[in-house]
Amino acid sequence: MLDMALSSLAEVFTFKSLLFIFLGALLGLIFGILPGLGGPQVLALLMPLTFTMDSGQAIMLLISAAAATTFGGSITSILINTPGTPTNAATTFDGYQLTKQGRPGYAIGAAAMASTLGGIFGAIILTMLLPFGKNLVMLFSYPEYFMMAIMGLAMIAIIDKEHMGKAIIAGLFGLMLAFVGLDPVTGIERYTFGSYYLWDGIQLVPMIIGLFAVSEAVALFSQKGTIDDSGGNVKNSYKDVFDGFKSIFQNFKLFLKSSLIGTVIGIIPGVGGSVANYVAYGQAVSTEKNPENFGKGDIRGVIAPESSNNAKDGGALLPTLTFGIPGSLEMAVLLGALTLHGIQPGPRMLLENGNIALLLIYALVIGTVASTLIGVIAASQLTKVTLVKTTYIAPLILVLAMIGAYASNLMLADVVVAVIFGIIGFFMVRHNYSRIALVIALVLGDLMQRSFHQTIDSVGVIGFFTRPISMGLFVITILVLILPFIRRKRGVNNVSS
Amino acid sequence: MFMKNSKLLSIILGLVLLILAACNNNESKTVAVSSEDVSAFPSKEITFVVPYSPGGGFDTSVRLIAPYMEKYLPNDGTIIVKNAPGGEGNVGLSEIERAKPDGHTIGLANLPGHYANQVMDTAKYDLLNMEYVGNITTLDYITTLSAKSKYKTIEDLQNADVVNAGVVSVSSTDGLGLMAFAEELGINLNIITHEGSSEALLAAVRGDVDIVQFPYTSSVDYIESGDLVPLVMHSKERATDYPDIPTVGELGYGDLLNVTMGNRTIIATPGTPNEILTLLREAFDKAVADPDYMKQAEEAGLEFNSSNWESAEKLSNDGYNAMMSFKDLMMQDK
Repeated sequence: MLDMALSSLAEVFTFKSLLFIFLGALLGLIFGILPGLGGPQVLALLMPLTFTMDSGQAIMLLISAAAATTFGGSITSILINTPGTPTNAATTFDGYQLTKQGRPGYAIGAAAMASTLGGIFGAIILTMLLPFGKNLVMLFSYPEYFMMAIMGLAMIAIIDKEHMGKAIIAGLFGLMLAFVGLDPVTGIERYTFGSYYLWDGIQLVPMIIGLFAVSEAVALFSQKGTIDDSGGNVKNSYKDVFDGFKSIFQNFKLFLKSSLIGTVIGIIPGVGGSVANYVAYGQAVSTEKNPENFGKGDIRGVIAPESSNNAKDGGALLPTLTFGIPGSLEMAVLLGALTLHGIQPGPRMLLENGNIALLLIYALVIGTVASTLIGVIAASQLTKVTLVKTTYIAPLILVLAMIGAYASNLMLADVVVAVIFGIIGFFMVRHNYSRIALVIALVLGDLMQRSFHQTIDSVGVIGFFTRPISMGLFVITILVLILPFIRRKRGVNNVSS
Repeated sequence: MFMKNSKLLSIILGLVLLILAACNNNESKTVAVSSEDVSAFPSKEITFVVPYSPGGGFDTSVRLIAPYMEKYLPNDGTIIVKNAPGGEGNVGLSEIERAKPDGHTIGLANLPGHYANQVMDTAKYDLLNMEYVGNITTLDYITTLSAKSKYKTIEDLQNADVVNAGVVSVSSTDGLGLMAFAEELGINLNIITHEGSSEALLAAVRGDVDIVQFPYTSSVDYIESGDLVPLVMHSKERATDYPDIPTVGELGYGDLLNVTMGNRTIIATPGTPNEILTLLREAFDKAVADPDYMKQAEEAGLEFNSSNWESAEKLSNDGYNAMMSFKDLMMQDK
């Protein structure tokens, strides 16, 4: 394995390979920044170009593009409160608050360093686990999937403490929306109202564009001045970005915890990055000191989601490489590209194409680093967006949002969904209902229903409690839910004594 | 300061438009082509509609053949692949059916799988009406048991009270095929649905389900690794690598073959003029015979057994009739 590792490494560090990785990262970053466009689109666009390349270079180009979209998405989360991809949703909580306080560079710096180190963390864990990958993936069965979904849903209750009731209502609304479409078990149509667009349920991407980009554009229209609230006092220096870098090392324990969460969630097929960043954020709120600062521009609220969503890529490659199971749509496209190059992911890949697997991991790391570099350089210019009058920015966001909603699937119905959720999102913000709780519930609703039925049909209800991992996840969920109350009580006791 | 920003933003906007232009120029239907004007065909890009998301086996086989069909089209024709997933094929297939019948829209159908909607009256299309261009590949299926299952033989399955079956859905080729197989052999199944075929196969490897029935090419790795045990081959002849495994025909249920197979068939809008169809069919026939294509298809692990439009049309009709004979089975869960 070691000589294989060295020869793969040598293949990455050639001029041509690095060029491809850099190009991929640049494109991925642009797609990540644009709402609606993300990993799947950039990969589908690049795939025909790779036909004439050798498989190694093709993989490096594709994987670095996919890795870069995650960080690209965090930039818009921070600057205009609009997650570029679902995996950056939780970054909006504190990232955007920092922008309003005149410190977008600080937040972007933290996101950049968290993404890079998170990506490296995930890749290291992946390399170590790859030999046991198959057994590890097999540890998770239907009851574990279900408990993972429950754990994600439980986070809704603790993230927005001030408006816990409203967050839960938003989550329940999301679960209701998750019922739209074909029943995952019987295939019966539910709440489709005769429209076959709704057979596949409410589409996540246009919904997020509506809830965030559209509603944000409307809010900006009605707001005078600039996004920046600090009176033009934006710290626009590289020093602020550098302070952002440093903040990771000041909160290194949080970074490690969040990356670990990201990697583990990545390993479980079908759960994915949109949950990882949310769970990591919830974990930070419930275990870190001074939880009341979260949501008000706390840098830890950027570090937790951004390190977890990049660390998740390493974890997600495990089921992809060992069983050919795509953890996400971009992984599905990547698998298609690999097949075209004669590489069949699955149990035989590690034996026959072990060097390709290693190449993938290295490309993932270097791609993440490259995208961070480009991103940080571009970001210092991009932060100036926050100083432009909102009345100029709002129409631009609106146009980009509409184009993004249409571009993801070339379907007009997606644009309609975006507009409807734009209106819903606007009122949710105004009345303090968490939009992200709605998104998370929609994402997890399908997984929860399916894995619940699968458990009941195969082992029965007892399966939830007889399997150690399932039971462990259940206990953690309970702990996460009651921990904030215990801590509050202790805090009160300290004051009174 | 503002100038700089607007410049930056306009660059971003320009990029979006560029990307859109790249993936969207197949949308315009304003170019008027006289349908008789065969010598000018194709007068614009041909849109190849895939009713699946990018990345799966169907999408991959289209992206593989499209450049080779392009090569053999007259007038430097180009083909653009468009993914139109959704509604169990309804979105993409109805788009093909409703397009202008001038040959500039072709698409992929999964036969007989896509007949499931028609049999259950949930289809917004009619595949019996479509024009056929050719069949890229026919996937053979194989019934396998989990190595961890307590059942080892067909007799074990027939004597069991209930057998856990891993499928994608009750109307997918694998699910329907397995239910039809079990019905004919008198096996009592407990159906457990999964997100996709990889997930269902993984469940069988874990031992959470006893039996699965998926394409030979996606099962063979797990058979080799010892996680799955082959039971019955759904093809006319036995698999060369597993000569001991009987075919479904040898067991006396040859009719099941018309349900349990996966044809990746190229179709065109109903009413496309015959002259244009001939051009498309010739391009297809030459493409699948191209040595470069054959090499690439082999590398990608596709079974190389394409057939021309006439046999594609016959496969389609046989598939419909076979599906209709299992209508009751399909409707029982509705």
